[in-house]
Amino acid sequence: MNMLVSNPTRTLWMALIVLLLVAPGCRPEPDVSFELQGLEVTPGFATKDRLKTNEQWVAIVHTNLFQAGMPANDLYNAARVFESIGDQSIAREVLLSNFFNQPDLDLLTREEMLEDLDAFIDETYLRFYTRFPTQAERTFVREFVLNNPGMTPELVYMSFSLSDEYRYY
Amino acid sequence: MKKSTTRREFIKKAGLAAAGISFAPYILPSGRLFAPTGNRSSEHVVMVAFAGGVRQQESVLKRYLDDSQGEPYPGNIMYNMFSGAAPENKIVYGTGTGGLNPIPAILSNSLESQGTVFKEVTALSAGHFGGLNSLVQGSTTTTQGLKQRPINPTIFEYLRRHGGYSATDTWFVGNGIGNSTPLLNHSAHPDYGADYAGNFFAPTVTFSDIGAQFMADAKIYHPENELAPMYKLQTFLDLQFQALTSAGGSIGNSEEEKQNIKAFMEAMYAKVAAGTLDLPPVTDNGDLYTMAFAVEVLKWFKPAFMMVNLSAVDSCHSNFSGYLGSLHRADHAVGHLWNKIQTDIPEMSGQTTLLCTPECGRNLQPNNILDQNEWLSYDHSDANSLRVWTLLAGPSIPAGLSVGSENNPVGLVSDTMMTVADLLGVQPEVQAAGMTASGTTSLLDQL
Repeated sequence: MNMLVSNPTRTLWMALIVLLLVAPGCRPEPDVSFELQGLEVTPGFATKDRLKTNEQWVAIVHTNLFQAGMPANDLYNAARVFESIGDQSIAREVLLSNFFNQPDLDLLTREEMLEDLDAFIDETYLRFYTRFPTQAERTFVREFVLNNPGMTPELVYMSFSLSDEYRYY
Repeated sequence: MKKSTTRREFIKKAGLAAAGISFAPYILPSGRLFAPTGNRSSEHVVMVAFAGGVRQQESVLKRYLDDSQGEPYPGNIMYNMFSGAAPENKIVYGTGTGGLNPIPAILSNSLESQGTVFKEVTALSAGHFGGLNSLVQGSTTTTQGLKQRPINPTIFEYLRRHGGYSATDTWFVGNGIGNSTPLLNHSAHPDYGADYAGNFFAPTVTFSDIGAQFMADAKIYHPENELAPMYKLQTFLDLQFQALTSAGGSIGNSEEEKQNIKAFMEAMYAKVAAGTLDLPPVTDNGDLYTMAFAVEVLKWFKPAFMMVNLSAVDSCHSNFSGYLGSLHRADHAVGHLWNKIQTDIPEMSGQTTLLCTPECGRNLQPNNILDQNEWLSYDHSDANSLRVWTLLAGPSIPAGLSVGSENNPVGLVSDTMMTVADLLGVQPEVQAAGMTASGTTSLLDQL
């Protein structure tokens, strides 16, 4: 037993075998793309089946537009005002147009949007829908924006904020 | 030959067209197929849910303190609505310290003298929410709780679905957003619902300081260059997403109506800010502000039907003096409403029928709460709470007529809703739907 432990040649051989076995497993994963573009996976709209409350909708749209949360007291009051208006779609639209009138809301100009329209569309889908557009959606929105000179980022954001999908999470 | 064929074709086509005109149903903007079968006898109807639990004794019976506090001072504190002399002593319901100064009458002739009063009507519920539901649905609400939409269709839905009235032709002006009031503009009934809802504002919230904080600074967009493409893109986005419900809170306003409502809101915020709202002569409680906005709704939209809910008299649970003051002010509010309709809204003057009905009464016996005048307060839960009245006035309503008496009840609270349906031409459809309380009949059929 003592002979086995103290045999330096045997120990050396064992270490070499272990090294040979383990070494290939430590090699970095080769970056093989097979000529496909990388795709970030985000939840699709199929999973959105819960209607936001007025309070949730106001909180989220404020965050999406201003990149900052709304104070809790304001949120409570805004929800109360929503309740006092029968046609909630009108309430949403009027609230949004108030938000867009705020001087601290920083929005791109149409020219800036057109500089990289596809990126703007992707960013808008991610911001409001937390998903990427399908190719058909991207194509439609791109063509729509290009063919409608009045479509500013503000109006695009308004369309998204007022849409059905945005009312669900 | 060619000419003859053409002529024959023309005659054939003309015949088919004539047959089509004769037999094809009309498809109206509301989506319904046929015109209502009832006769519309009033261009406009305004219903006041009056006003948060009212005892017969201090209202239609004009007994003031004589039948509540054991003090022998009768009198009429609702002289815009009812005929009769005001109390001579112990005045607490007016303005100023202690309420010593009664508010002068707005109407030179009481509504009672101009119209008809059903003096002893049976309420279907001793509670506010149940009572309001019986006024809008015309039915009892035994299975319906707070925070639930009405189970049966409301008068707004009957009018819109069967009468073809547009969304801005039907309005509910609420006293606030408590007690599920905002839920009363439409039911959850699968055949009716949001698509046939009435428009709703709780103006003391919508146009308050907090309302202004979020809504008053709205940006004005160009309808064609900006709004039209914005809506188009929204429509595309909506088509990509199959919404699970139609619970988006839209109530079937057309785009034109939506723009009109937004313009109204903008005008109201401007009026509030400028202090130019058309207020009643005295405006010192929420009901009077609610009525001021109700009048503004009438001026702007000239709707076929509007319901206004007043509620301040509910202070009677703990303050009888406050209740008397609120009752006096609710009468002042109705006086202002009728005066404005007749003098400031020419499109509605002489063409409007008014109905006022308390949603419920109030107890015969007081609770133990004393107010500043050491008068006892009243809740609403006993048989006296099911005793109310209905006042009608308008071009087709007999003047100076009284129906029923303290010992001879005539009519139900739900009759008020059926009367609206009758006046606006949808009574046969409401009756055919079969969802009103048993015995519910138009008050016009009980004259």
